[in-house]
Amino acid sequence: MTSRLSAESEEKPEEVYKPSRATRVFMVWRKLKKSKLAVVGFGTVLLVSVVALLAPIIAPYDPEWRGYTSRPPSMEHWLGTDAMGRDMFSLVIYGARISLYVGLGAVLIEVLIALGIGMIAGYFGGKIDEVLMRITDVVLTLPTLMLLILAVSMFEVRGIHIITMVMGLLGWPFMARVVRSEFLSLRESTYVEAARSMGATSWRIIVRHILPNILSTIIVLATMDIPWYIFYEATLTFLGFGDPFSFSWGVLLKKGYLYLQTAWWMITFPGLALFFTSLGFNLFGDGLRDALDVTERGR
Amino acid sequence: MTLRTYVIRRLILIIPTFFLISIIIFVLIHLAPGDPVTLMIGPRPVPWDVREQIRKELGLDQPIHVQYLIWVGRLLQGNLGYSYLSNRPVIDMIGEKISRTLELMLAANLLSVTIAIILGVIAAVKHYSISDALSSLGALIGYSTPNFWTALMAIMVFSAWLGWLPPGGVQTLGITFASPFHALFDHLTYLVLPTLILVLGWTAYLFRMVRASMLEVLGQDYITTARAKGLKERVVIYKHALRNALLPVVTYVGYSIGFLFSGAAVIESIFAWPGLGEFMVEVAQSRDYPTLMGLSMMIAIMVLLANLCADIAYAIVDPRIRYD
Amino acid sequence: MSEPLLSIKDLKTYFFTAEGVVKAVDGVHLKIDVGEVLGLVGESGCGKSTVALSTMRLIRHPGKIVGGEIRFEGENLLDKSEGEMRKIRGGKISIIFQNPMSSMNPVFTVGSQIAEAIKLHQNAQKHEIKEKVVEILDKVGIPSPRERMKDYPHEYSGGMLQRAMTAMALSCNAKLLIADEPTTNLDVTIQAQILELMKTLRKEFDASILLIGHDFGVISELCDKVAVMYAGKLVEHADLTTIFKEAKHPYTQALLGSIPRLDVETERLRIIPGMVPRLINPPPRCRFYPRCEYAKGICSKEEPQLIEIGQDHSVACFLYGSTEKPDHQHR
Repeated sequence: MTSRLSAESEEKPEEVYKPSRATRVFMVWRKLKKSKLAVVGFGTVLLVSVVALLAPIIAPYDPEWRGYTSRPPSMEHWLGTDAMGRDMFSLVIYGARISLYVGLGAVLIEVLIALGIGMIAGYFGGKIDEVLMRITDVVLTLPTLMLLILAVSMFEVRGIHIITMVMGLLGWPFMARVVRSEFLSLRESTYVEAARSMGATSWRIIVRHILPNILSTIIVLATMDIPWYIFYEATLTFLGFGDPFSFSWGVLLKKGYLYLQTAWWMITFPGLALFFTSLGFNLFGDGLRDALDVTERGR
Repeated sequence: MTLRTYVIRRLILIIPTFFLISIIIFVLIHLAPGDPVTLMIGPRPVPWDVREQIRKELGLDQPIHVQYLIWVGRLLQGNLGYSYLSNRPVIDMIGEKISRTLELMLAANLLSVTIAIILGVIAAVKHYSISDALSSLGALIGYSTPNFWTALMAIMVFSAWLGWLPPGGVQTLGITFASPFHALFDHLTYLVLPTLILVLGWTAYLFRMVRASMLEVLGQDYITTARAKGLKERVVIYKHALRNALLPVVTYVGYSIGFLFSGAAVIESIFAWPGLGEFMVEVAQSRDYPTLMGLSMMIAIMVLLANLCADIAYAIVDPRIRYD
Repeated sequence: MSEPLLSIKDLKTYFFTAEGVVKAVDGVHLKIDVGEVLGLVGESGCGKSTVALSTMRLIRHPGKIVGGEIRFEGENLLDKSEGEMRKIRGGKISIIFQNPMSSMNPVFTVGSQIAEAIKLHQNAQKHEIKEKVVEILDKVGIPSPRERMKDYPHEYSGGMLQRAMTAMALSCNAKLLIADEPTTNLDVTIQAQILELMKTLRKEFDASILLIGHDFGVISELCDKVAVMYAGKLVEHADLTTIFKEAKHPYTQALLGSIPRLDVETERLRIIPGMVPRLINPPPRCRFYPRCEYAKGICSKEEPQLIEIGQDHSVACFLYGSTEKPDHQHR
């Protein structure tokens, strides 16, 4: 206990004033609030999350309930019904669940893999680094959708879990590259040198010094990747590579496609939901990036 | 290093990348559970010995690395595989469809690049103004819209409701009997919607890049020097700043092929545009694995070549690169 | 006394940022006679570069020149139109910057960039321009100018490029050359070469120079007179010998005292405690007050004005001159 304390007080050669984690979060929050767009984005994200979580409570109808088919929006059915007679509003609400699940799930997998690979490449360097980076570059240049289609099509089972897993497994390259370069530059930084000269072990340096700094970059990248995953899931499902029985917005759009001529509500609303969710995450991510970046380098 | 050395080096780098890609594609396909022959043939009743023969032909009785080598060997000879489902060599089918995709990508790129550069430069020069904020927001919106949704909405509005444009396909039946001018015009009406949808997302992305690049350049010392020489602001922007700001754009356009292909897959499917994107979706759906492998390699090679061209083009325009 | 070439009076340049108004230059007076070299000294952030850019009216959003006058050859530059200023920039007044590597456009050849300047300010045919470029590159000491003019900036070394920048600045026979820390980024040996070059060129082109820097060694090589700035204000102005022998302002004395010297025995270098103040909403007092050893009561309440205390020697400090407030008020 005492050794940690003394090490800490000695590890501050450059940081005359390093605010505690709580104050840093507070400063970021203040900065975020300044940008109106970021606030709108955050609000949207919050809204979608709440809707997804409370779906069973919010949705006016059970999504499986069948009523009159293909009814336009009305007082009983705010967004109309689909070809099978299900209430669109409820379907869209339940669709939010799927999107969020996919988005968060894939991002989680992505972050874990990217952190691992990025740090391994950065830490070991040399041949391992080169090989890993070559693979990263190749996966990055190939068209994403093509890779996803390839990967998903080989499974017998079609479903959101498969899609989520596949996307996470194929989405790490970009983040891994960033993690690696940050890792490398931080490794050379003077305060890591100082820590090392105090006798800190490599592991300790990585966990206590390097990781927290990489954290903010990862948070921003992850937030900006979520809408992409939601989008790709919808696209894959729309193209027929997903579960046709789920409530994914992609499925709704796929089914609604057939009734383009006659039932405009079937494609408009799920699509709008997709659009606003994406936009919300993007706005929030942009704002987050501005807020965190400045705090990082600001004095 | 001279330009020649750079190009040669870059060309040599393609070889390991090519093999790496082929391994990735091969591995992805072969991780598929299930017997490929059964999957390929489907529920049709096929006698056992015919299956064995197909298996032998496909080399499926060999160990996996041998299969890989055989496949790569064929690739290098230009044999992209044979589709058992359609009974045609893959390369023939690709040949029919490749021009359609290229046509779409070219049109989309041309439009997008033009619009993005014009808007991006204006936004950067008018930094802090309303038009800058608005166009940036517009770009973000364009970037966030799901392309297949906009495609569907566009078809609904412009085709189903208004009847201005056709909902899909490449040309009207029988148009070939009309004059070439009519045929061209007709074809263009089919091209409009798919191109516009692609343009929406791509322009948004490019705009952000151009604007960011231009902003960075405008903050450089040499721009102040140019002004200090007494040059008109217009000259400073279009001669000194733009030249530098557009350098990275060259690479983006080259690398666009990867991005555009993802969009093309969806767009082509929706608009029944007979290109490689639609082909890929179709082939993946029907689990025509040999074709899928060949097609994927073809696309990957196209992307590789486009990236190579982008890198070389960049080396030509930026004098600093050659002297690394 | 003939009219000075450049006369800056009460120049105020403020930057209107999101955090507040930064008063980068807050009432500066300067004077440069024909053929004279004036050194402008001060720490980083004191506003010297802003003075330079203001003179050429190159201040851009969010900065703005809010007051004062800049008389060049008898005319107030702040009254001129943009078109008239463009003729002056590069033609009558030119500037060279601190970092030569970033001051030239990397995608154009050095020769073409110099030619661009010549074409702008002088009536000359294509082949004449080319000859002039070669001539001026030669004058600044670039070997094989005919070949080197076809090279790109990154193919030049730092010192060579600074020479080329100087060539570009003087290519149109400017009357006033502003050199903003031209040697700071260069090796000491190259530094000496560039200073020598400036001495020669000054004689040959009969140009006045405003040399901006923070290194007294460099200043003493070239300058006739010296002006010292601190936190956006001018604190002392005198000729070279006077500054070195009889500096009056505490800041100037401290600056000079912090130069390591070989001829005087000193135990430690004098350091100036404290930090340069932030220029957003500065309090109405002497800006050097917090760090001054001789501070008096009045120093924390009012801003000292620039007063002449000798032949061509002015100071802004309450230690000198009358303590009565002058006629024109600033508050």
